[in-house]
Amino acid sequence: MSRVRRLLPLLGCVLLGCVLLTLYAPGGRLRRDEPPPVPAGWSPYDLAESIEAAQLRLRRHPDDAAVWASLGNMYLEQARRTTDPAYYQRAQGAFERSLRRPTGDGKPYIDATIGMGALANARHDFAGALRWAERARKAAPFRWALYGVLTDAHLELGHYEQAETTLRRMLDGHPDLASFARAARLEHLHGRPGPARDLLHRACVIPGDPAEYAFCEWQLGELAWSNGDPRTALTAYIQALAADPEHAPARAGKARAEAALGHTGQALRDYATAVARSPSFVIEYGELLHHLGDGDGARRQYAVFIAQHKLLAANGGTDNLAMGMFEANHGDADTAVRYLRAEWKRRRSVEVADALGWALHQAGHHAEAAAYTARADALGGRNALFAYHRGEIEHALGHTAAARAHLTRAMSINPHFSPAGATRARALLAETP
Amino acid sequence: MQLTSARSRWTWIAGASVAVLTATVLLGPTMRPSTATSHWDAPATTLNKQIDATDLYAFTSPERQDTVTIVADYIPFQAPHKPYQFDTDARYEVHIDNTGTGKAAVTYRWTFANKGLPVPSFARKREHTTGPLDSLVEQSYTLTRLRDGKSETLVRNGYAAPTDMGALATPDYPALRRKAVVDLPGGGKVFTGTAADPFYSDNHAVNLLRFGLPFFPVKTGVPMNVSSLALQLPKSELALGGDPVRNPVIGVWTTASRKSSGLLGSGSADYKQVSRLGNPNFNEVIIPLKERDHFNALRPDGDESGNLIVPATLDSDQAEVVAQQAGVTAPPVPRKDLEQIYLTGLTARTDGPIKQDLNSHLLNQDAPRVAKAEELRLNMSTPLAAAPDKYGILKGDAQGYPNGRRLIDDVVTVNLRMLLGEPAGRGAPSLIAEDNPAFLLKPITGSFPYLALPVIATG
Repeated sequence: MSRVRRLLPLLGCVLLGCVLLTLYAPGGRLRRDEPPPVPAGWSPYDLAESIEAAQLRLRRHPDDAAVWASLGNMYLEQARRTTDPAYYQRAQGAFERSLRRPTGDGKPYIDATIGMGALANARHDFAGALRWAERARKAAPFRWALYGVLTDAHLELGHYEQAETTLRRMLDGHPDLASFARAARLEHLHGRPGPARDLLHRACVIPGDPAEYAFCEWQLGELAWSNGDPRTALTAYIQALAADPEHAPARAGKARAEAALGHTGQALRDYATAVARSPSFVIEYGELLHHLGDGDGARRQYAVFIAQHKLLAANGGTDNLAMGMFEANHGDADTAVRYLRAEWKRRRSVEVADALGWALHQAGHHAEAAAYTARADALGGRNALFAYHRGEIEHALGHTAAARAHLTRAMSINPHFSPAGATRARALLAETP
Repeated sequence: MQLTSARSRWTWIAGASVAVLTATVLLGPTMRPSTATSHWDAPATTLNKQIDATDLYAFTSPERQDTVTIVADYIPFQAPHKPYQFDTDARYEVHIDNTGTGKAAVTYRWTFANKGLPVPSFARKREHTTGPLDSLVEQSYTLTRLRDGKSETLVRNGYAAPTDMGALATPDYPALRRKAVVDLPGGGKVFTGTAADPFYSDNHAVNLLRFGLPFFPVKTGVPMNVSSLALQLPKSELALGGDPVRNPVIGVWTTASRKSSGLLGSGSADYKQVSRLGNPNFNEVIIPLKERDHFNALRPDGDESGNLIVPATLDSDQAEVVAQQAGVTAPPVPRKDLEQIYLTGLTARTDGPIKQDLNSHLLNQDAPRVAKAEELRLNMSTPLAAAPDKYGILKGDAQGYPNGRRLIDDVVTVNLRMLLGEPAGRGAPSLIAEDNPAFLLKPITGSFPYLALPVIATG
């Protein structure tokens, strides 16, 4: 049944295609390129319809580099919305078709170049994204989208100063949702929740469609959540879902906030909904189940995670960070260290520093771990999980006072940072008076 | 991955199909516990609808011929029944250049404030069903006139007409429209608010003109609404020296600027120009894609010295592409005719190929030195056409586009034909059948602001 439901949009596309063909085909019902009659309720924002229309146009004009690039970007958006990595391949194919067709000035079509960068980011090939975005910048320094790709790649690679420079360029040249949202992220990384919130509020009043609005509200929710305010977070997640009921990250956020507020039943229902839409949230769902004593349920979620990563790898994606964290918490610590050392070679972001430190601690290398987790706090961010990890590591090293300080900090930033982690932090604080 | 640009709805849609599309980006772990795909999911480009200028019109008011009406439309594709708001952190401006230097002699600036809690335009999935978030948010505006380095407030706490949301939310809608038309000191009027989108075009012309440009999946002339900023102003207020007889030509363009933000405690939060529109389609057809966002940040007084607008106009890549698609020949470069049409206006006094005194600032007796600048130029002394033709000067109707732009002008077809060589040469006049049925979806009215009342959902 659910498979049928998943296929419905596809069926819709196919049917629409037939209709369009009937209307447009030579000898069809419409003269020339007249538009088909607009159905009541038609919206120019319909992604499936736009993809269908682009494909139709490409059948007639297979050399149109612009349309190939647009199609690639629509596939990327589909990947974002469905979290189905199969769309990455299709996006890549479309961008490559576009790049093979020089445009009027004999250069590659710029949006395909930028699209390749965005695709590389989506596949966690951040160095590749940087190369594509820099190539785009040389060719078209005023095509603002490239700065978004560039900023994200720098942030993931741990190049915080370059990210800041790029963002300033973006804010000076084109203040909008894309630049405000990223600026908020950078403020958050630097432990400045106030400015981050202001920027997100600015972003929230300028969206062009429900998906953009849901994104903004979800980010506001994440910010409130990570600063220990599940009630405000819940309100924001609900706003996001009102705009876009299928926004899985907001659904998972809502579940997380509900669990923190003690609405366990509702939290479990929302998690189930979220992971059905997007498997990205199986780990936190599993951790909550485990915390509630449902070990089998948790293991089932973890199995989904493993399967999902095989699928991602098959589509040219890798996520060593997620894999490493998973192994560190629920699998084999040495495997986790392997994943995360490899990731650390590729990029030195605060998130990777924290994860590698945590994996080393789980594998028993506490002293080395401490060096990495200290780097995770280098930006002055306020991250409860990082603080908790540092507390655990100091505790393992026998540094009681430092452990206490970090654990206290973790609980003051966000006492709900993870079901098991918060419980453990409280227990440690209780036993070291 | 189209970025916002002041552009007609089509490019905008490209935006939609591409960006709505919020082309993606990702990420890494974000503000949340580790998840399977540690994504920080932000759009690289966004629709930026609120600052997207779709159309600009300027014409002698038919029933008050001592005045000119200027309409700047923003926020395209508004679904009927749904409330939309202007950006309260932006300045929406209409500029008048009466000297021909590319500098604004007079600027009219709107800024908006929300009355009550803002509900974003699109805060819901299903656009055509009213939902819990669709409360009506009224906005008020301040209208300021800037000239000679001084600013005067013309309207304070003005009423911006909302969309027609049915008898419950907006009872007696025509009364709201009347309430939103305000008299200005000096005899002008202003209207601010939602109206039916007057834009229409022949689809075949759209497809030809836009070939090879970012793709849009949609049809033009859809029954949707826009947010309009409309002015009716005495010609004497706009003309150089206050004398529309001696100096009848003005250049018009509209811009939107948004307040930026500092970062990590430093940097400026100034207003940055993010959109610019003069002649319809100019940015997407004449300016190469790579520079399209750049154009939105530029001011006309820099057009001549900048290394973008003049060369792009003289050597239009798009003309070749379009001609090839249409199976005709494009005129040879340099396109001095396009330079006249878009950057200087028409006059027989220069060496341009179009020998017609129509709308060049050189026709102003007191104009000092005329610069090349992309503006919508209107000769306020051109008499009203007895039988207006939607193809304007191509059919000998001197009062039509590109001499200003009336609500009834089919600018896409006119631009397409001009790109292919008319009126300087033979061009390809039969490419678009002149008897095609493309015309306004909703008739315009007989008095200011002339725009039809908002479309209401059917079915």
